[in-house]
Amino acid sequence: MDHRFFLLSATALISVAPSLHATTYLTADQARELMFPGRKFTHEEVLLTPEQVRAITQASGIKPQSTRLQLWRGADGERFIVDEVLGRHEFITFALGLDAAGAVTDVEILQYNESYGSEIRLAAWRAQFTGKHDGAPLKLDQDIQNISAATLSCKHITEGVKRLLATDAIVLRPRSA
Amino acid sequence: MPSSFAPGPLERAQPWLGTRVAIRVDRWWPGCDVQAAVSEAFNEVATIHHLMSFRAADSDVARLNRSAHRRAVPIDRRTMAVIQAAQMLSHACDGVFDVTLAGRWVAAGLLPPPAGSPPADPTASYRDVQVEDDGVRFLKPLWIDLGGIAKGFAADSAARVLRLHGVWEGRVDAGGDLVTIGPGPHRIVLRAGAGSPDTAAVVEIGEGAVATSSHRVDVRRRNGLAAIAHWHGQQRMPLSSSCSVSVLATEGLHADALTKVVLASGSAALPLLAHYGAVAYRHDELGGWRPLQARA
Repeated sequence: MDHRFFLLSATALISVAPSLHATTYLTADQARELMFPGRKFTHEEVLLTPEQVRAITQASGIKPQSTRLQLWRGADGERFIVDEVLGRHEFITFALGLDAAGAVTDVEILQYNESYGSEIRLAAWRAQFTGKHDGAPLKLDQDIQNISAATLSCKHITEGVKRLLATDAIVLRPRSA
Repeated sequence: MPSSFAPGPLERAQPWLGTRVAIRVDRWWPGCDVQAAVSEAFNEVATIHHLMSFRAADSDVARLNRSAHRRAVPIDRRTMAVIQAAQMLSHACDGVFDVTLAGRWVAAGLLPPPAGSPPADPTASYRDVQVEDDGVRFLKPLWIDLGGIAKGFAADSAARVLRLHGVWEGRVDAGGDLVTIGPGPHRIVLRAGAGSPDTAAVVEIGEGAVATSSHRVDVRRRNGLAAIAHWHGQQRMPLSSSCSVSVLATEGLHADALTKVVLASGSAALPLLAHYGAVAYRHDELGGWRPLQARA
């Protein structure tokens, strides 16, 4: 296997690859357009009541982390929800597409941040450099965007989807019926 | 030299195979519908997830674990390809890599018991898995789990779909199982599971695959056993020392599975790596990242 191997100091690596631990994939609008091409949607912010939070927690076994929910309703009853999950090691924004009957059509990750222990400190250290390059990215920014690391768990997304399906059944679907 | 018309690269991610699968497309041939290519590649990953899930009752793996000890069970060509590759590797390393360890993992509380399957025979091994013309048969009741190889295969398969659609440069990252498309050079940071080392290792490859596995004995213990399931297939025991291993190979499937062999057997895996045209790097707390070399 032809390849080159080299070592960089972690500080050098951080300065050339500032987006190492945070990745933005799609905006909410882009994800919605991918899931429901050409469809019209109306945005609403749903506020969960304490009773609804209790019911969702009971039905899904997972307590909503926020009482606010970003929801878009399609003309034919489809629903598109953007929500966040906070895991032990990651902070993920994801989008869930539901058809009119409440079945999952798609899940897309919109943003993924890793926060492994000491790397939080490194991120804070790194933040000192933010803005100091006057908007001119270092050339190597583009070069090191690939990371091979041991598998990261996405079980929090699975739990998040489960919680949103309960939210949909308890809070969202009756309103659209 | 192909040209791309859309501004900038496209990257999307979906949760599959228990991890974040990210697909990035940098360059493509004229006429390529990049979004459709990426969606198609994710569909392929989703199919592999559904075929090879240990937990889902209707997966190929679940059907094998339920019935293959009684009769040959027909399975999808993709599951067959993964099992065949796993079997070849198991024979080549004398069982250090073994997909039939799932019974031990269930006993250790690392996996849920598969519903409706007979108890796994504790003496069963990869030698009891028989690939036949019309399916796969087990010579004893046993449970297979393809978790140690399926992510690499999924990355290969997604990359194949992207190439077929006209993607010329990009990558598929199935939770650290990375497959690159195009001559690159692709620079890839190798990250160990623990802590933040003072130095980071970077490899530069053309079209190929890099997989990383970390084994940490200090992470979560249940029933006295490390909860990260890296076991020595021959010894039927969890590994005892903490380290990370990255393997570079032409295919993600081999890179993924070979990390487990190198984790378990270290430099003894060098002939096997050479057989697969692969190389490995190993990280531990003392030495940092180093090429895997024969012991002096």
